Amino acid sequence: MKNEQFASDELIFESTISKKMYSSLRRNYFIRLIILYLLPFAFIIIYFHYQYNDLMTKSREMHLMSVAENQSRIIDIFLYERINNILSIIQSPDYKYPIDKKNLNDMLQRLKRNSDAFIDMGYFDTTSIQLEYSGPLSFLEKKEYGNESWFKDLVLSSNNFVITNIYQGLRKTPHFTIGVKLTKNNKRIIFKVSLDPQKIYKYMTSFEKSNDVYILIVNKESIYQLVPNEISSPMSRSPFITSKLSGIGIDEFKLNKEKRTFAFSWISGVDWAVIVIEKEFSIKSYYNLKIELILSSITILLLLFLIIIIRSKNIVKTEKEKQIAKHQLEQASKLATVGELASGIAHEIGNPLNIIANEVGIMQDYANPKFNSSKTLNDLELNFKKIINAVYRIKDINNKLLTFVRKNENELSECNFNEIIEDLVSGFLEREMKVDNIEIIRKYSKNFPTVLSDNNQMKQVLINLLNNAHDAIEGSGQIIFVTSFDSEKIYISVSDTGVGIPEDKINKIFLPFYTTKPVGKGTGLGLSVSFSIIKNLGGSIKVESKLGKGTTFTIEFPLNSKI
Amino acid sequence: MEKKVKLLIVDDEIDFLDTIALRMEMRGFEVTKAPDGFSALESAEKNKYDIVLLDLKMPGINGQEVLEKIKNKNEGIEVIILTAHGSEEVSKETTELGAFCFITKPIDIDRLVTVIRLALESRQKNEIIIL
Ligand SMILES: Nc1ncnc2c1ncn2[C@@H]1O[C@H](COP(=O)(O)OP(=O)(O)O)[C@@H](O)[C@H]1O
Repeated sequence: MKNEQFASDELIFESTISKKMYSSLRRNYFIRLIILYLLPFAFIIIYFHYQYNDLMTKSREMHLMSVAENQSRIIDIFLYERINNILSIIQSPDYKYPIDKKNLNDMLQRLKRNSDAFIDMGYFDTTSIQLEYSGPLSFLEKKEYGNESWFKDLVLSSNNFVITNIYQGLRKTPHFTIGVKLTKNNKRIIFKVSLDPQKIYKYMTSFEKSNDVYILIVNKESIYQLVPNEISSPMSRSPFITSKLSGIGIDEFKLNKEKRTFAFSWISGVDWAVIVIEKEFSIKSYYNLKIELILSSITILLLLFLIIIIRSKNIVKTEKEKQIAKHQLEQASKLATVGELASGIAHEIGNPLNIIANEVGIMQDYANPKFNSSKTLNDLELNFKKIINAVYRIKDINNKLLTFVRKNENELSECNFNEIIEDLVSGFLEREMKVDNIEIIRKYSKNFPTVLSDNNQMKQVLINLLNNAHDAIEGSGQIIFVTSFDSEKIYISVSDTGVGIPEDKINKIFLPFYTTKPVGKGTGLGLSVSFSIIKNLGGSIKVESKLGKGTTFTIEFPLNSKI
Repeated sequence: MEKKVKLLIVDDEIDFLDTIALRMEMRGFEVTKAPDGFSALESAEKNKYDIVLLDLKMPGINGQEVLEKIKNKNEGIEVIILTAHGSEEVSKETTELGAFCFITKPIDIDRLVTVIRLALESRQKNEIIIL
């Protein structure tokens, strides 16, 4: 009852901010950081990857397509030139029709001067029999061509030329033919000129600088016309299916069950399409680049994740420290509230004063002859005892109060707490504890550093903690002193296996005059005085307790204490 | 011989209760002790007291409540409050409830006797006025 005025203000100490709360705090921070930083970043990266992929594919396709288009134009021009070569020569006024073999030889010579692709040349009149032939394969002379499809096509066509697919024909080597018809002296005549496709291939690839692609030519039946040896041979079937109607574009084909892209571009004068595909190494390099990008993104994400973990831990740590600092501050300001202190003092001292007044009053009565008392001094023993107890009680309170006042009168010296504790507990005190079945255990840290402190005041603190521990132990138990240190602080803890402190009381124990001990035994000043002594010496004290298990008070002092 | 004045002393501090009771008996009062509010009310029901000396801060039923009930049930009884520390608030509240006055601890016994005498006198005056 006597401490009600303190109870209303809730102070939260570290022990009541349970581990559970901190782990949920950490989880909250963690989730918040993930949502704030990691998720948007991950989205950006994924979006970037998609965009990049898209862009990459598009630019690769554009590249393939532009090569295909260029190449088809080059071949177009090449063929157009060849046809022009032929037309201009056969229509030259130098030749009188019908021509003879000498004329034809001359024509071929002239053609070959225009291009080394020309192989041979044949001449037909209205029949389908090759009248004259000039070239390396003399057995072709007088051969019948009426069944050759190009010949039929040319005869029926409204065009004055045809360009064949590449074929082996009678000579069994791949070649193709340009057939040209014209009318001379009202008679139809036909010239057949064979060309070496390899020469075309050389010609067209000589214009292509990018070496990351293969250039091939297929006909509309998807048969290879021109193809590098590494891929296939001419006149075999290709996997590229495209229609002449599409002109130019991008499509997919299957290579070993893998989807690949090819670009095609149809050549206008002939049923050939230029096909461009990527070489294996360039696909690989794209692929590697992609993997590299993905890996580096994952690394960045992992790093971020790590940073978030560390940060959320740190945030909680600083939060924890802030909380503790805050509560210690609150605590200190609590202790400094003069009004509260005064009211507590009045109350505490009032009780023994009442007792003294009572006892003295009745003794006055005994001494007063008016009352005819028969009491002797011996009969008053109990009254004297009550008075002296009350006086000691006031003295005790007074002593403890003085430590509040004596703030700046620390007697500082280098203190070794191992020695201070040992001094305190060894000998008489330890024996006394043993009588009460209490074992004192010391776990001293080796090479325990000294700190600048007040030996006597700290002894007082340790005695307070020891007495509390003693009072908390019912029956037998242990009191354990542990010293330890790290790079910044030293730690002195006093644990007991006593009754513990209920959670709702733990924030009151440092308040002046808070006690659960019977009247006359506890003053409720031990811990509050200890708190202010430690605070004055630049340290801090905290408590952890489990009901029924025991309590640990831990004192901390910074190693390079500035008092 | 003059008829003894009947006192009921209510206080949860037994030491105080015992000594004050003894001292009042030495001064010729007939004293009954009650260590808490409940036994005080019980005792006041059975006996007719002239004066009640009442502590305010008690566990269980507190002094204010006891004061209110005793004043309601017992006509002509006077209650003197004994308290550790007085304040204006307490004094106003208790006088409103009908307390005669209040005395702070530690108690000056002669003063207490004087106050009791005054209380008894005022009661007699009141009775005369009423009659
Ligand atoms: N080791 C402990 N185990 C259990 N309770 C404790 C312990 N130390 C202190 N307390 C509680 O804190 C209260 C205040 O302690 P303190 O300020 O030293 O005053 P006092 O010891 O005079 O009661 C004690 O009454 C007790 O309830």
